[in-house]
Amino acid sequence: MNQSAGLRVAVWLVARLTYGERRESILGDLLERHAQGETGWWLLRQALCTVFIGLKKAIGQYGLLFALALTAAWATVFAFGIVNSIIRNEVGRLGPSITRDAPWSHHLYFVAFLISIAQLCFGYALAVWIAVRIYRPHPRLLVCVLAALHVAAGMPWAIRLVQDLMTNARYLEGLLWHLGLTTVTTVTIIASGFWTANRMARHREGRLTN
Amino acid sequence: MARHALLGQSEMLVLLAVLRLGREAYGVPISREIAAHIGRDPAVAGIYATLERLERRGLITAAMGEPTAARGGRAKTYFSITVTGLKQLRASQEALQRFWSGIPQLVGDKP
Repeated sequence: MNQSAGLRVAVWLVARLTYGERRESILGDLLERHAQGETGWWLLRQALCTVFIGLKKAIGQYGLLFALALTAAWATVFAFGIVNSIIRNEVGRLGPSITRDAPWSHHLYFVAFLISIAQLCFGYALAVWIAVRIYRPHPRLLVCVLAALHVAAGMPWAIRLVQDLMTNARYLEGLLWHLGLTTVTTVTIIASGFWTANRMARHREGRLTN
Repeated sequence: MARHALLGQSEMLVLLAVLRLGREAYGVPISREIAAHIGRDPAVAGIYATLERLERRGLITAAMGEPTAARGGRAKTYFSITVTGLKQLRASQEALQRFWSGIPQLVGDKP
C-alpha cells in the first residue's frame, strides 16, 4: 500500500469510527508522522488500533446499551430470516408447476426471487436502523461491529462450501450464491447504518443550531 | 505507603516521557521518546488512552497548542505533569526499588 492511500484510509477510519475529545489530536499526530515518512501500512495499523481501542472504551462505557442494540438487531434479522425461509420454500414449491404451465413463468420465478432478496435486505436495514437508534453514542462504530459480526457469522458456512467444492464442482453455485448474498447484505448493513447515523447527526446539529 | 501509589507500566512510561520532554510533550515526541528507550514503537491511540487516564486521575494536565500545516490544521495537545503526578511517580519508583533490592540473582552482571 502506498503512503497516500494508507493515509486516506487511516484518516477516514479515525475520523468516521472514533469519538472523543482527543480524536483531532490523534489525527494530527498521524498526519505529522506521515509527513515524517511513516509508511502507509504503519498509518493503517495505527488507525485500526485507534478504532479497536475506541471500541473497547465504547463497550466499557455503554456496555448494556451496546448489548441491547446487538440483541435487538439479531432478533429483527432472525424474525425476517424466518419469513424469508417461508417465502423461499413457497417459491421453491411453486417453481416446477409454473414453469410447466406458462412460458412467462421464468420471469415470475425471477421476480419472486428478487422479492425474497429485497425482503431480506429490508430486514437487515430495519435491524441496523433499530440498533443505531438504541446505541446513539457511537453509531458508526456499532454499524461496523454489526457488519463484521455478520461476515464472521457467514464464515463457517463459506469454509464448509469451499471444502465441499474441493470434492465436487457442483458446490460452486452454492458458494457463489452464499458469497453474493453475504456481500449484498453486508453492503445493506453498512449503507443503511451510515445513512441512519448521518441523518441522526444532521438532526442533532439542526437542533443545536435552532 | 498509599494503597494506589504504584502506577502501571504504561502510565510510568508515559509520565517519564512527559517529564523528559518538558514543554514539548505532545503525542508524537512522547511516542518517539518511549520508542527510543524501550525499543518498540507504541500505538498512538494507546498513548492517548493512557494520557486520558492520567488526566482523569489528576496526574497530568493538558493544554491546546496552535494548529500547524504539517498536522492538517489540527492543534497539538501539550501535556505536563502535576505535583500529584510527580509524587505518584516517585512513590512508584521507591516501591519498585524496594522490591528489586536484595534479590541475589539480580546482583552483578551475570544472568
